[in-house]
Amino acid sequence: MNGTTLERPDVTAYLVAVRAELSDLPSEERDDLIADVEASLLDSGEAPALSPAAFAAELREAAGIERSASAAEQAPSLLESARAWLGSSRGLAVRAAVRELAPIWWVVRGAVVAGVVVFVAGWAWTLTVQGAALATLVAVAASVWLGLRGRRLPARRRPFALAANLALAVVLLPVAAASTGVLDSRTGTYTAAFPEPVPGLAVDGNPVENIYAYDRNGRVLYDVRLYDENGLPLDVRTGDEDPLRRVLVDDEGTRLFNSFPIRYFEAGTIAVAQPGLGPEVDVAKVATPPLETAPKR
Amino acid sequence: MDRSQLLRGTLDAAVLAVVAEGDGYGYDVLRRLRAGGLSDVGDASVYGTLRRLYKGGALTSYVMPSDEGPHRRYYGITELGRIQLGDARETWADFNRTLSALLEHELEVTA
Repeated sequence: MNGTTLERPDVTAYLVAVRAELSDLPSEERDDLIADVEASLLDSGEAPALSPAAFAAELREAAGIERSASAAEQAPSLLESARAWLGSSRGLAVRAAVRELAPIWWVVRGAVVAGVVVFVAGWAWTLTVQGAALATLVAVAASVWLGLRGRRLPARRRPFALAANLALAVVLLPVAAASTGVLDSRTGTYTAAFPEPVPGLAVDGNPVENIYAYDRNGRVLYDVRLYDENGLPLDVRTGDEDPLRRVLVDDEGTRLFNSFPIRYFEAGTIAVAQPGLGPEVDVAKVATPPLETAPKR
Repeated sequence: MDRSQLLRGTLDAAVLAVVAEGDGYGYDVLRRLRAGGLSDVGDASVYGTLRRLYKGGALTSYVMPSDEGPHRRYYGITELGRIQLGDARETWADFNRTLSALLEHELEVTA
């Protein structure tokens, strides 16, 4: 047949070149590929018409082997990719949109710079509202003027302007956020979200777990049942699964969760140890005459 | 119509069909494909395809010493490869029918 690679320097040179093109592959993978190619090239008796680079590319594609990142000299750099994208139709559309929206950024930029200067410099303590508004107005006008002027910059200087704007945005955002905090603490603005609704009965957002009713003479009433203005029972279900809670029942056996005070049995019994226990309050006797004896008008 | 584009999508089936007829090494498979009418098939495409089918389990491989040069890696078809070949036959037949019908329809319209 056609002998060995030693007798075919053209095939040897071709294989060396193909191997170099596959230098990013693991050596075992590359050796296997080259071994197949070598045997076949020697059999065919001629080097392929393709260049080694094209041959390697075709081999790679057919074998389904991605070019690894280490072949950086072949892969486009990040900058080149970005340039290519900016030139694409999608990139052009985004650039047009950015150009149209830029004035919004100019205004925000001016206002934030004014705010940051005023608050960070501590002038906010002495400045009037009118003064702050004037400072903002001046800063916004200056920012818009700068923006319009930037549009006339030569193309080669635009990337610097863009980079400066991006850097400003990155720096300003946290400073602006911190300044807002200064404003809040100064004006005492409470910016917490709406509190979560409390299930069951609540007073000022705190759950009510028990209710003690006292009569005119300051004595605790027992098994008082409470309803709201619509006749809905004021059920307190705290501990309703607790077998020790003394839950009243009506004739039909319906459990009544609106009876107060809620009492708990001693463990293992159905006895309430201290039925008269109540909160530590001094309930004074009522001096106002009771309604039924109140003088008629 | 660009034959190389068509070949790109069908080379797996062609290689499987050739190896199913008898085990072969790279250049041998290439030669049989060309003899079968795919005169413009590229060597690198065939070697790469063999490698990929082998790694995917459709082909098995073994090395045979050769007196005249480096060892040759022979490829044979596996059970998985036969299943893939069967699928490819069906897909091709169906595609062939569809496209033929479309192209003939087009001829009638333009005639």
